[in-house]
Amino acid sequence: MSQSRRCPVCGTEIPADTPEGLCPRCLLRAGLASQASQPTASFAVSPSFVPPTVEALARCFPQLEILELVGQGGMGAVYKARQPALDRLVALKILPPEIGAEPAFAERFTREARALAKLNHPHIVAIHDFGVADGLFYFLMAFVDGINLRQAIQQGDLQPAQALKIVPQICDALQFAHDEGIVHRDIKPENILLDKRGRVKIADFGLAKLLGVKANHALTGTRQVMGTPHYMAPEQIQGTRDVDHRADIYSLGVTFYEMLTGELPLGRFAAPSKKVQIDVRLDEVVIRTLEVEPEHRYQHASEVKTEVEQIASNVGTAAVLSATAGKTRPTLEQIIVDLLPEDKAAAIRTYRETTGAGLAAAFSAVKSIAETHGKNQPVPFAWDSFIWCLVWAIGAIGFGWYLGMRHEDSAGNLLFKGGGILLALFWIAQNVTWQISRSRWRLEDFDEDGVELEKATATTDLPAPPRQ
Amino acid sequence: MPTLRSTHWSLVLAAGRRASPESERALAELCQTYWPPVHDYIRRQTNDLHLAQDLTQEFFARLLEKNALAAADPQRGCFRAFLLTSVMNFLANARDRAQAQKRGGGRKILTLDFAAHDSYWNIEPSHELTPEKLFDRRWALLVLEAVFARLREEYAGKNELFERLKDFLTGELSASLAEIGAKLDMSEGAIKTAAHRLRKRFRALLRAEVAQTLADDEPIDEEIRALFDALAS
Repeated sequence: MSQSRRCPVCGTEIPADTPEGLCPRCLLRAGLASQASQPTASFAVSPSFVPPTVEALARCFPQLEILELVGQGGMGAVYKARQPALDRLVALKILPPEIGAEPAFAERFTREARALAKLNHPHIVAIHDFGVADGLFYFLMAFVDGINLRQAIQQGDLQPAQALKIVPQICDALQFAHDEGIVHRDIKPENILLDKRGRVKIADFGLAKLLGVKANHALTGTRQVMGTPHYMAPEQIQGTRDVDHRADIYSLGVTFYEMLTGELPLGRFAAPSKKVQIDVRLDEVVIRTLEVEPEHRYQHASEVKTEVEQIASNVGTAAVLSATAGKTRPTLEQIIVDLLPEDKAAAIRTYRETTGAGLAAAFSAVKSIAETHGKNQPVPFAWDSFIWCLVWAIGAIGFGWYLGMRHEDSAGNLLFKGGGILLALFWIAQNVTWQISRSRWRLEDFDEDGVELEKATATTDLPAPPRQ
Repeated sequence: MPTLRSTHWSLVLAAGRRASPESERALAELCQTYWPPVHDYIRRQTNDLHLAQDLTQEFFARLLEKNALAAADPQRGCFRAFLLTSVMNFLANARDRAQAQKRGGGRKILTLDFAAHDSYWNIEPSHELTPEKLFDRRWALLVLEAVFARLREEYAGKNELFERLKDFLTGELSASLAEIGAKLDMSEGAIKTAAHRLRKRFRALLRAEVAQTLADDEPIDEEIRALFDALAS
């Protein structure tokens, strides 16, 4: 055929008789169950990786009963299998075959896998075995009977209260691994599994590093960033600096935000409490994990856990915050609420001074406090005062009219009648002005003068604001 | 996705010996969509367009006859495999019949020269494929065609949107979503949602279409993967 065209996604030739001129292989791939949650752009998907069929795999692993393919992604495919000797279910993870092409990979694989196999923690998926079978690098792991967090989010029945139970468990696992010197590097809802009893198990520890380094000089020669971009910390995406455990804290923040709101924190995202009914104190926790500069984030996963648990239990808040910030949080919130109508810049300043948060974080947090209070406790129109005002106004008109009628001369008549009406109008006007001023600060759009606010706040002697 | 309604093929299988009007209709509908691979297969084996057309007609006429399915093994697997096996058997029988007639009556109705080199018919570019592979490949493309036909029906009022977004079904990005959105006068959020919806709908239709050719408990993913492999060249 003269005009053969190659698919830009998978690299195979597109047949001339394909419907709509689209690559039929990619179309079929889009129909696979495990592709349901793939983003449109195949960012991390190794394009040519098609998981082997159950039958083909069974030949490579005679000691296992391969049951079914349960998932696939850019970093391999996972099969449910059974170890007949031990009569237990296991998960078999196959890495993309092309990674074996790199001579040094085998050695690194062994080294890393040994380190990963030492991660023995109730919230980390245990690695039973690893190795190479017929050129396929694999991990044999504990099988988690349940769903992953992505599926839980998609089902839409994940309540904030459940999120508050899940996050501390993730923090536990991360802190444990970080103490062992292992960074996950690819925390995202797909890698967080929930078993039937709701317990968290984190999968694929360190896999991103194991495969990611390889991917930089992949067979194709193209530089490919492994991992899922939306959950990656800025320093991971830019590749400008060393990635440490704080990258995991950022990814945890993205996941946390998504659990609470069902959305990703993209661009100038709204504070979570603006989207759902949750404790506004969580805003600060989420936003602080999402700081662009690693130095501004929580420095340890255990800190996130402590804060979340304190908020969840709603006791001992004062003690925790006085230890970290020197002020009690309910008071801070009250101060902010009191300051807001007068001086928003001062409110933001106070927030930053108290919590040590960055400008962007403080701005979002104060905005969310303003909105929560504006939303939850709207200032009602004071009908009682208005009706009394009307009664007095009618009384004044009536009394003025009566006095005017008693005066025969037209000047006196006009004076009393007009005076009564003027007095009534004055009272009504005053009442309306008062009603408006009562609710004014809440009606103002916080966003509109946001720019000016930033300027005002940035001129103080606080650290330079991180750019969002 | 488990549905209460059984698939076409499982209806046919369940009916077995006692074909119901429902199962007959299901089979007819399946044949209506998936006859071209059979035709291609026969044509490839006979090298004669008119003969292939006649034989294809005859094949389906026999298949749709009452009780034609009863003799077959209940463990037939998917419709694709069943149809391929059936047409292979059918052709073998047709050859026997032709030879018997040649020997007996001398009346030359069929001139089936199966051994001849297939030089007559090489319009098909992938002629290096075996007839069986060709059958599967054609099948895979037909599945996609059927899905697109339904998808286009659903997007009848939104033709331009469909045209511009269809590239996203493969993950091919010829223009950014924002650009497309600007052309269609849609916000970025709206166009993203539309792209996501189209993809989701395509996926659902594809799985539904594939499911129609499988028995209820057969894994859809396996069949999709088989079709995927059939397209590997």
